[in-house]
Amino acid sequence: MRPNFRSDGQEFELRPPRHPLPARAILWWTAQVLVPVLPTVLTLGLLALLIPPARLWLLVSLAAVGVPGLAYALIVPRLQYRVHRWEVTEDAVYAASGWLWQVWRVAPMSRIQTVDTVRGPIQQLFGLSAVKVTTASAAGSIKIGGLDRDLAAALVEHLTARTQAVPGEAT
Amino acid sequence: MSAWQRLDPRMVGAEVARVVAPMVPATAAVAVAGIGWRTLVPLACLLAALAGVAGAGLARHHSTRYRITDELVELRTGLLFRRSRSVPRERVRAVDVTAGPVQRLFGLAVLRLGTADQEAGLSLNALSRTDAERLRVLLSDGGAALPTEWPGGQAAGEGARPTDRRGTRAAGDGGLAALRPRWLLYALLSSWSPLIGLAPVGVLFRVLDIFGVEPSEVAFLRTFWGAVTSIPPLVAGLLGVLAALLAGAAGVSLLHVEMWWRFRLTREPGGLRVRRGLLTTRSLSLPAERMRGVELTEPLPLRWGGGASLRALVVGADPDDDEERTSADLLPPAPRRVALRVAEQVLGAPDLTAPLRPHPPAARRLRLARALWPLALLAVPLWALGAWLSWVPDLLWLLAPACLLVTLPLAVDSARNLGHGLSGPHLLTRYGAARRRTAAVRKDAVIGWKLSRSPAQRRRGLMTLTATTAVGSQRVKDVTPAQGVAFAEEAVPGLLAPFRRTA
Repeated sequence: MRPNFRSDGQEFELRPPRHPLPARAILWWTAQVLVPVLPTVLTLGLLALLIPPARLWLLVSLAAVGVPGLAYALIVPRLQYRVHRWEVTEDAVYAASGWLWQVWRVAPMSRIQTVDTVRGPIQQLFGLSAVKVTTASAAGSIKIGGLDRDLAAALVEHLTARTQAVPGEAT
Repeated sequence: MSAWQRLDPRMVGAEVARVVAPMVPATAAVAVAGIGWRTLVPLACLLAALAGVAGAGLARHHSTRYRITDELVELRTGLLFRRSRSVPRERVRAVDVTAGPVQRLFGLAVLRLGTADQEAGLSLNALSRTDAERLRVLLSDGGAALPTEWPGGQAAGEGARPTDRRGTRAAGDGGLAALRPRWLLYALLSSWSPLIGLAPVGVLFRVLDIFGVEPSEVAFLRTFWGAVTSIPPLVAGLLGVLAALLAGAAGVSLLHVEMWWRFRLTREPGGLRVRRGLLTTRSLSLPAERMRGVELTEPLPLRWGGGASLRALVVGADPDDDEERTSADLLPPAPRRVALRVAEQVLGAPDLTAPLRPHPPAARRLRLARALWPLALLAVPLWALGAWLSWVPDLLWLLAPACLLVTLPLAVDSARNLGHGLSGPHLLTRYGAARRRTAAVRKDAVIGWKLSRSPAQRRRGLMTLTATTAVGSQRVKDVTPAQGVAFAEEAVPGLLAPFRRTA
């Protein structure tokens, strides 16, 4: 699946980062959507079953939550997968994210302050991990979510060693 | 000076005075309202609480010690729970000396040391004014040699021009700017005066509430309310707005005088120094090594009046924190040319006024569309309401096109204000209509790029380039991707190059 960076026939100035995320990142994003949506839908369905007089309204609200929620869960993670990519070179970290609002971030090695892994409960379930690269600017940090756990650990190690090797001033 | 030192003993006097001062109006209020349990209980609670504060102050003086060594500033506090805190001197990012009215009466001042980490700073409350000032100078050097590349390239004193142009009374000690009384007019243009006008009213009702007095029990409020309800509502409304505006203007003026009285911006070894304040005096150091640029802000009314305010972009001052934002203010709202002259002296070159590159026509179309569409969407339900409900005027939907009179000029202005450029060592950005913001940031302060596209920007072939820096994001809004990436490469060569498609 080639990432689609085309817009009105004109290519974006930056090429996409080299590496895609593992395909199970799609499952992770889907789960992230389903975690709030499914319990709501199930509760509403159960109530509709138990309370016949309010059934119509309960089913209407079920549809109002469930249909967009499921559509989002089916479509958006696949769009995200096409855009979310990452790359680490000798001198910089480069990552692309977003689907409707697209964001490309570049941080030079010499300005990186800390490198962490962040693993939420759902990410752990899928054996995934996020790498967070922080610079002196709150807006400048780069978070690459949905990486393979072992790869993320190796990446953190590599980045930590690399940022220590590159002379640089943090601010 | 490596011996442990105590705070100034006069701080105990200041704490006690602070306790006595609020007691006077409270006692007077009780005397006026008459003695009963409804007034005595709050008074007794107040007394007990304030006595507690005084006792704590005594204990604090007894138990606090500080020490300044070559590397560290150390502070030990606490009677029961001993705490000690140390801040490495090289981590100190801002040094701030303030003195409230009571402290000034006792010749005291508070020294605050700020670090990048909010939690890690400390304050010495209180020292004698001479001690505080001496420590401010000592600590604001970062404990090290003076920075070699102070942007202005001038040491203290050299930048002084006693016969400076109009607008300042720069003195011979490295003075860059001093307050002019007529700058008060610019302060009036730059704030939300009507809202401040309502504050004293709120305070009055709060005080009545604390002492358990119903507003209707107070005679003058009752007669006042009677008078208001007897005149026509339109007149009453107009009078109310006028009164709020006047009260607001008075409030802003008082606030301005309190904040900026005897304002002086001076150059000193290692950076800039701001002194200001009427009742509470402040003296701040802005170390040159922490400065990354300046930002000129022009809210619309202030821009119409030919004014602007100027702020230093300092590492460690949180751009989202109001208090910290004002602590980096280099000037009160002032005439634009004064702000530009000070910016030129602080940056070392007239970089802030360098010509900016315009943005593509698509940026203007995007802004016009943003001004039109929401109103078109608003007009439809308004028209439907008018047609459906008999008591809603049929022509209500005309409100939406009427709003265009405001939004369209703002959109045009906002498109015209867009700009970006490079001048000397600085990267320039400008955007905004209701609040135009022009910033010059050192190119070497850029610690990364963010390129982003909203769906609307994608459709129109635009993007926003954001330079992330330790002093906040600098946005180049709505440029073509080619323009934006080329600009980023020009500002920081080599960072984006490996990721370019054409490479």
